[in-house]
Amino acid sequence: MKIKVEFVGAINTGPYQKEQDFELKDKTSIRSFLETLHFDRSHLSYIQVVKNGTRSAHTETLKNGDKLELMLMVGGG
Amino acid sequence: MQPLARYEKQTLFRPIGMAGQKKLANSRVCIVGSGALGSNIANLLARAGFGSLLLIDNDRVELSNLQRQMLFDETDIGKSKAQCAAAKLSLINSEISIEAFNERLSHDNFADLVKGCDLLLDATDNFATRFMINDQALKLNLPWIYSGVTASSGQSMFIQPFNTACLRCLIPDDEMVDNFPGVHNSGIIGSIVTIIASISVSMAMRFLVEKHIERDVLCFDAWELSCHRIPMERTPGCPGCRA
Repeated sequence: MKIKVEFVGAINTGPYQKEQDFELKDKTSIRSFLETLHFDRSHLSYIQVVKNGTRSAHTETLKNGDKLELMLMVGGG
Repeated sequence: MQPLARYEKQTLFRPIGMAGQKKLANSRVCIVGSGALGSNIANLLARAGFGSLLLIDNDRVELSNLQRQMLFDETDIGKSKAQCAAAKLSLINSEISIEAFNERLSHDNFADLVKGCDLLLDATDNFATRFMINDQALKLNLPWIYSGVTASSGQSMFIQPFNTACLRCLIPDDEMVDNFPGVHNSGIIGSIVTIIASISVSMAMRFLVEKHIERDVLCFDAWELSCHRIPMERTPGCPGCRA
């Protein structure tokens, strides 16, 4: 299946474009997908995931055509 | 000085008017942190006539702060941020009450320091303090506004205990990480501070004037000039607000 991902704001895009398509196995969870990216594992809790316009728990399963926005909560002040 | 002349243009703005101005004048607001966000927020609140401001910060002004911490100048280096900010604000608006506490907000002093406050604005620079604010605000049923900035990005979110999502609804696992992106390792540009401070102050004004509660997290990037609104619902089973 194919999903579309947008990296929002301060989140490090790593080797990816700001908007990027990803090919995944069926029934991949958000958490499993995030773990395949370049992020430090300990930062994953601070990433908000919006799936098709709705904030989604990392335990949710992805399906073909999903659009994700990934936003890192920022801590500076 | 004629008190009402000061707010003439603000009261001409119909959603505020004289009635809203009176609500602002009667409000007591705590600002935790007097650095970049805190000094920008406090500046706007004082000028807008929020009647009573409480500034809390145990840090001191450094040269590298002057790029974005709007209330300070070179003569302030080495001085208490909270006390310097209060002194500057009292020159801007001598008709409001401004108290400065040169100490660190903690579980132990939270209830005493914020007593009587209608709203708390977070302008801290770390999540450990924000989780403490979240937990104490839930205990005291105190509404607060999360603000955060790093690099060219920032976020603002209104949190009303047991009504909106709380910080632990968003980040249930509050493991603290050493290399988390922040001002110390990702830098920051001053414009994002001003934008996020302004958004948080708008949220504060609208809440105090109209009881309006903003339910989205607002995210801005001052380099790409992009903005996102992300709807936030309470998370079932949240370890903080137990939705």
